[in-house]
Amino acid sequence: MSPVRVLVVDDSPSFRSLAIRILADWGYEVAEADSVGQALDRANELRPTAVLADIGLPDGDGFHLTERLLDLPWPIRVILISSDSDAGNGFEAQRSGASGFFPKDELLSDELRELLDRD
Amino acid sequence: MDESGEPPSSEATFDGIYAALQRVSALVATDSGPKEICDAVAHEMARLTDADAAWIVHFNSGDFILLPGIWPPAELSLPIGTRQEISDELRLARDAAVPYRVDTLDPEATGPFVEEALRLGIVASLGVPIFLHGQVWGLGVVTLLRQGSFSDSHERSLAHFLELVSPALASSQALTEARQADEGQRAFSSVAGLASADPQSDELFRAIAVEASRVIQGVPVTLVQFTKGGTEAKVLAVSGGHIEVGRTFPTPDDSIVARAARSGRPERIDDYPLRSIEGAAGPLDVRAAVASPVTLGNEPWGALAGFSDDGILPPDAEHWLSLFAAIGSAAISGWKARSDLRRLSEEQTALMRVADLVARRRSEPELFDAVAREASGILDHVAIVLFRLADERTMYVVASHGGPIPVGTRLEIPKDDGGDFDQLILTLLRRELGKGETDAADQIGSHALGLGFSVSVPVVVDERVWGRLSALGETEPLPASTAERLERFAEFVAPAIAASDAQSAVDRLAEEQASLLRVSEAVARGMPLHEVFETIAIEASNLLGGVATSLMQYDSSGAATSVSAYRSPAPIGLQVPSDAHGIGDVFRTGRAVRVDSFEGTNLAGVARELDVLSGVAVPITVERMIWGTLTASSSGSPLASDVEVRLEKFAALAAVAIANAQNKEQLVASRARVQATADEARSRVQRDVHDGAQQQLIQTVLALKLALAAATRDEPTDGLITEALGYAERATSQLRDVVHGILPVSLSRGGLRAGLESLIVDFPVPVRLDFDAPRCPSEIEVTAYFVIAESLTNVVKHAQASRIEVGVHIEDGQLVVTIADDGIGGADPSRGSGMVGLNDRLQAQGGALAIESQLDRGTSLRATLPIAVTQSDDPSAPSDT
Repeated sequence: MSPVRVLVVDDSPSFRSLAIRILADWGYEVAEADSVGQALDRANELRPTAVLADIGLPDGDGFHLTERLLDLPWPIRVILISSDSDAGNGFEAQRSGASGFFPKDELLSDELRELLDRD
Repeated sequence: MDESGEPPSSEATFDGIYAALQRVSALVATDSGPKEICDAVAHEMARLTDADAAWIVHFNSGDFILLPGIWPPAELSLPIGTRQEISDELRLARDAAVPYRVDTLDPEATGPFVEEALRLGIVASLGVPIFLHGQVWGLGVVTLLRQGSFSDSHERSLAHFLELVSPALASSQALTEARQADEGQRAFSSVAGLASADPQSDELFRAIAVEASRVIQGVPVTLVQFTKGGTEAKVLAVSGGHIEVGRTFPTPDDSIVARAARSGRPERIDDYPLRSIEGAAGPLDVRAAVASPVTLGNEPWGALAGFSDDGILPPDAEHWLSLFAAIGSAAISGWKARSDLRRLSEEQTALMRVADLVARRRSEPELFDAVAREASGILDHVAIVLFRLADERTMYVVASHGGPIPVGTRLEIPKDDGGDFDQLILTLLRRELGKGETDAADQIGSHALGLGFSVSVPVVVDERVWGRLSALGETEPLPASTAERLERFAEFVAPAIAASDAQSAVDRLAEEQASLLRVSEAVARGMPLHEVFETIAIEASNLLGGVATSLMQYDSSGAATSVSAYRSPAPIGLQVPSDAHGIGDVFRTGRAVRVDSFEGTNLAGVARELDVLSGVAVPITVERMIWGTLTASSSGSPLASDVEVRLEKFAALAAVAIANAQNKEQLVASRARVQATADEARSRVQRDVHDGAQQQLIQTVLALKLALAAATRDEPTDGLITEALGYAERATSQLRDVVHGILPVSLSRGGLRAGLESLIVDFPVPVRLDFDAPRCPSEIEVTAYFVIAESLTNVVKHAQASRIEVGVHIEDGQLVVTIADDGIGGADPSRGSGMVGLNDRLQAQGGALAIESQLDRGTSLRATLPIAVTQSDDPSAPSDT
């Protein structure tokens, strides 16, 4: 079984670095991108199993990115994250096809980890 | 007559005289008629003097008349009433009261008595005076038809007899006169009765002629009325069928009627120069004539005339004709008075109809129509035009009945008319014009309009000349009474016009109020500006009775653009240049302008295209600037004279409405900007917090969670805790910045001065603060702070300044903030959202902003903020913030 490959998309370098550290610690193969455009490039390039993307990005939003990623001809899971815990984000994430939504401070939650590990 | 045939030689005895007297007295006593008594006297005269014939004549002033009393009756062919001029000798005898003898006929003598004497072959005659009431009344005449003469004793006997018989003669004379008077009285009464019963004038006139004729012994009598200034006489009535009624005769100076008209007294011509007048059945020869004037007032109106074709008129014909002429005068006066009364009553009815229209509050045009129609009605349907004076030099035709001038025609009174018009229009004179007269009155519709004759009278309302009422005659002169009647009508109709004027003023005021109210309501309802424009055009049109109106807005150069129009052919968006005739003048002068014709102006083409003949434009002044113009225009008759005044009044309200709507629109826009600014500030805060502090705090949380997990695994945690602390510190710093961006703490805690001091401490350009103001309400301080902060930011961004001076002080109850720099200047307050935002902030607090920024002279900005009444009692005390 090949390792789960996760692409972290966030425009804050400090948050990206923290997230990468955590995910790598958990045993995932981690890549990073700081925008929608870069995320799509990296996804085509790396074919990640899952994408962990911030909703607010400089060149678009996570919902839009989700739709574009799900259009790719291979299976991919997208999990959206945000500094806000606004419930509206959860509904909107669901509508865009994302597998889940987590406030950023729940990055260490078991539910997120389970979602990443799901086949 | 003596049987012997001898000439009388002996003196009649007393007995003879006495016997004669007794015979006459017997007749008097038996109440015999005057003729019988006179005949008897003549007979006795002949007896006493042995004469062949005897008669009695009566002296008038210049002649003598044959009276009844002739002996022998069949012998003398002269009719009673025959007259003859008194000869000089006879006059001497009469005046000396001595007998008059003719023994040889003077071959030169003429006259009917002379002719009769020759015919009879009278040889000698003797006339003895008859005294009545001490005057020589007449002569008793005896004649001889054979050779001989009357003796002195005959003369004495005759004188004696006549002296004694004169009372009897006097009573006979009185009787005759009484009978005649009685007969005349009856005729007079019958005519007077007719006159008082208001007969048709023809019937009355005929009665006068018939009765007068009867009283003067059947002499044909004619009643004539003078026409053409007395140069002709029209036959109104005749006693018989001798002349046709209605025929007109010339009246030369020597005619009997002309003489009577001239003298004002009865005239008589016995030896009328033979004249042939055209009778009903061929020519009539007139040998004697008598006439008495018929007067109306003191003016000759006509004459009552008797014409005799045999030269014989009764002695008292003048007397009787003058009596009947007097009845005629009285009857005609009465008849005229009655027809005047009837006319007056017609006028009253006409006036009542006019007053009724006023009472029923009919419109002015209807009332004016009625005035013209009724005036025409009472003046036998002549053309009537009613003019209304608009101002000193303008009149309008407001009604026309049968007149050639259309209603609405405007007449300008020329300035150089030499005062005629001033006299005519502005004074109370009435004016009568005949054909061919030319003066300024041409303008009011006589000659210029092809009319020959006019009478114009003033209509005076409330002691001012309101207008003029004119009667116009095309070809015929107007009747003489026209001016007087028109004047009276104008006088009586004036109160109705005044009442209508007052009513119109009230109605107009009510209309104006209603229009103004509708416009005010439109503004109050918060109607958008373009709808306010529409409402103004509609209501202005309604106010002026439906004329075309448009509202135009000026740009800064004075060019105007139509922003709304009603009943107007001018499209919205129509642009006229700043030098446009009329509309351009309104912008330049700030005054109302009237254009009566666009022909020859630079708007002639546009006017023709839009079918506009004339117009009025008034300024609309909003906040002391000529904002635009409200126009009224007409494609037909000129606009009423009061349009300027009414439109100006309305424009004043329209200006308020426009200002309100504009302010409201600006306020809405300003509010929207303020709201947008607030929204933007909120999302900036949200973004700043979300991207900054919140991110740091999340990372703090995550780092701490990792540290906690490490701790539970007994792994080192120092690195993670240090990392978390770093995140937390950055979060704190970022939050501080955000909060400061919302409202500096120094400002809210220490007030404006502290806020500003904090602001300028590390400012990139040196700032000198000159602060001299107490604490103010926080909203004032916050506004002032942001105005200064924003301005300082602008200076840094754009001004390239080396230093800035900021002043804050109090002036006239306002907080005044000044910011001046030494930069490049040239700032345009209308550009850049920063300035607009400043303005919005200030306006929200009732403040204002002024900016001065010339190239290379730096920029100075002055903001004023009224300090609201919420200011604390002690201005130096800190506010509660």
